[in-house]
Amino acid sequence: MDIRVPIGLLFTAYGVLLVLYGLLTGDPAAHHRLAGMDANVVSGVGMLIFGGVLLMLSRRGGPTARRAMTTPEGRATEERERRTGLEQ
Amino acid sequence: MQLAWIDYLIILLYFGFVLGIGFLLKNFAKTSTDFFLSGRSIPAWIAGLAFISANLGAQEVIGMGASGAKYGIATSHFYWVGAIPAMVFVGIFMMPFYYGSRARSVPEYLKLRFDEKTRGFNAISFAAMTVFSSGVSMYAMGRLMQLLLGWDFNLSILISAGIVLVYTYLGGLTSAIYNEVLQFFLIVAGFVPLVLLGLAAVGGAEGLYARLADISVARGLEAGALTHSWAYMGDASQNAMGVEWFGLVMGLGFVLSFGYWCTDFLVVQRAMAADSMNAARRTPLIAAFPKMLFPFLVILPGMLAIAAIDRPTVLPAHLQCTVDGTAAGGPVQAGAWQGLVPPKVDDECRPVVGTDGEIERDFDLAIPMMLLHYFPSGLLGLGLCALMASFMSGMAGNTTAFNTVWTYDIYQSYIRKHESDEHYLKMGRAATVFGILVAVAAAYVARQFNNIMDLLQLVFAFVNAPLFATFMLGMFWKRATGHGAFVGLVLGTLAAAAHHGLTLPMGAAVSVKGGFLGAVLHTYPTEMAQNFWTAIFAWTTCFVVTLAVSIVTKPRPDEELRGLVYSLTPLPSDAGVPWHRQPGPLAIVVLAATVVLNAIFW
Repeated sequence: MDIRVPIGLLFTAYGVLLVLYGLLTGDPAAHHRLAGMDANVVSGVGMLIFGGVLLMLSRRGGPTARRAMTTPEGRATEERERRTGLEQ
Repeated sequence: MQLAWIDYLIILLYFGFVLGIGFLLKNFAKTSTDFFLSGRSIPAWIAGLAFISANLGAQEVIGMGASGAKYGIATSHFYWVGAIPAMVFVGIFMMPFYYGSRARSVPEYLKLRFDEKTRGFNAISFAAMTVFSSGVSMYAMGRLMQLLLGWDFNLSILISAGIVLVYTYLGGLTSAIYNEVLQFFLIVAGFVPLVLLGLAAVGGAEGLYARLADISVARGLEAGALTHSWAYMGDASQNAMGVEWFGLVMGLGFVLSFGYWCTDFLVVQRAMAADSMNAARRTPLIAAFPKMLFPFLVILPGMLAIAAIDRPTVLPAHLQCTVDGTAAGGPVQAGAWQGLVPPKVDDECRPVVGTDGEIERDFDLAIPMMLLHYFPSGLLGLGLCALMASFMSGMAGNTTAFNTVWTYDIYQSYIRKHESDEHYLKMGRAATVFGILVAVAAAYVARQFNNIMDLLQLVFAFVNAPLFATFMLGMFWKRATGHGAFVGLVLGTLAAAAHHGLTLPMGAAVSVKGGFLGAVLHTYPTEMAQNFWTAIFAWTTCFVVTLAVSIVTKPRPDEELRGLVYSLTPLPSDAGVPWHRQPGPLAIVVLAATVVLNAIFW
């Protein structure tokens, strides 16, 4: 599993939720404003962009966690456990 | 404080995703190496973010905010003097032995380098410490949610422990690491808007500095004491920490930080899971980049909280009485607040007054009050997710470190040797359940008997303080022996206890805070100064004793120490790797950036 996929999905979902909620609730108090705009909307847009970038990056594919038996370092660790008698 | 439906939705989505990652990885762990070390296959950047996230528990977030409110910019020493140099050191100098020796845990390295008793001492104290510290942070989290939102304490504990249990049980270290990366980004996403909103409300950096100068003067310090990290470190009485530069650099920067980052399996495990020597060495260096920026996310909100001009609009339940005036003691005067930092109040809603006649402030509520005040519904849900994410990443870090040390260094070493790999994999899963159950029990003990927990944490601090001396001598001096290491560790621990028992922080009574050995030989200006010096004494004792005992005991032959000691290990080569993937150049960039940060906030 590419970890960028779930993170990208979660941030995109949060972004959509925050933007919609911010637009629907409208006219926030002064201390809930960033650069004069609803803080929910501003943060939501930021999260949408970040989520989108991660999802795009993940399309190119990339390294992920693999089982010990398929990696040289993992195999070496298993091999040592047997050689030194830690495991049968 | 009532949450809106959107907040609950955001929190539920978060729970869904962390559990989902666990379920997607449920078939990942086929061997014990998969479960405990992610099959040694984690790419460097994932290991690096997990490294930083596992360290970033809820207590760190809340505690650093509290320290920001108390000590101002000087709190950054925990990062720019404390963490970063130690992280560079572990990546460049120690990882070649940790990773290269194929040890599966930090205690196992001690066994390979020294002997069985040194490993046993470290494994047992570490296992006990991780379980209790996750219990204590679970308690802190449950209590905070109860205070802020009126959530049921039992339910908070059940849900938070349950979720961590499910995903670490299913996917082992891989699922913990993947979730730590997700939690890292959530913590950043939750705190960036908080800082921006807080800064905007106080009138930007200029407004913040002006307010902090006033607060500094009101506390009897120089105007710049809260906005400079080094300028007032020459004299302990001039800065809010009550520490002078030598105690700071040696106690925090050298002994405590190196002791934590270089020897604590909770963080080292993330690097051990990396997919190559090069990736393992880069793990702490990659982690150092976000780490050096974290002061802006966790310390700054604390400073913004005391500097805030706004009056709090939303109050946690126990402070509601300060507005209604319905309580017997009458309402707390507005002056008892400092910005958004509330006073501590007793059961009758009267502010608690300290021994110096000043109203005591509840600095631990600095960040939570910032969240309640500045975040509208929606963002508030995200902010609470960030808090919960920090809690869960810390707890999962503790759990995975515990089950590994338990299975490899205690169970496999002393209880059942030479079993099959499947047997140890099963044991790892069982240890996950067992570790979390004990942590939950510890959370309830902490709730009932706060003193027992203070005492336990103190004992662990004693055990940890000398540890780095053992590792330093072990890795860089081939003459160091097992007997030397063991005796040094034991006496170093005792030295820590003795120093703590014979000194007191100013204004404290004889208790777990010190002085319990019958005499008080020295009084420190603050608890922090006392802790730093306890560490210095413990480290020095361990260093000298290990050295002395090693000289009179028989060393191990050179061929047994290959790959374990500096002089007998060829340094890993990075030939053919582009410069930005080489540990050396990365370390130089990290250190240079840290110097610049120290200089900017001098």
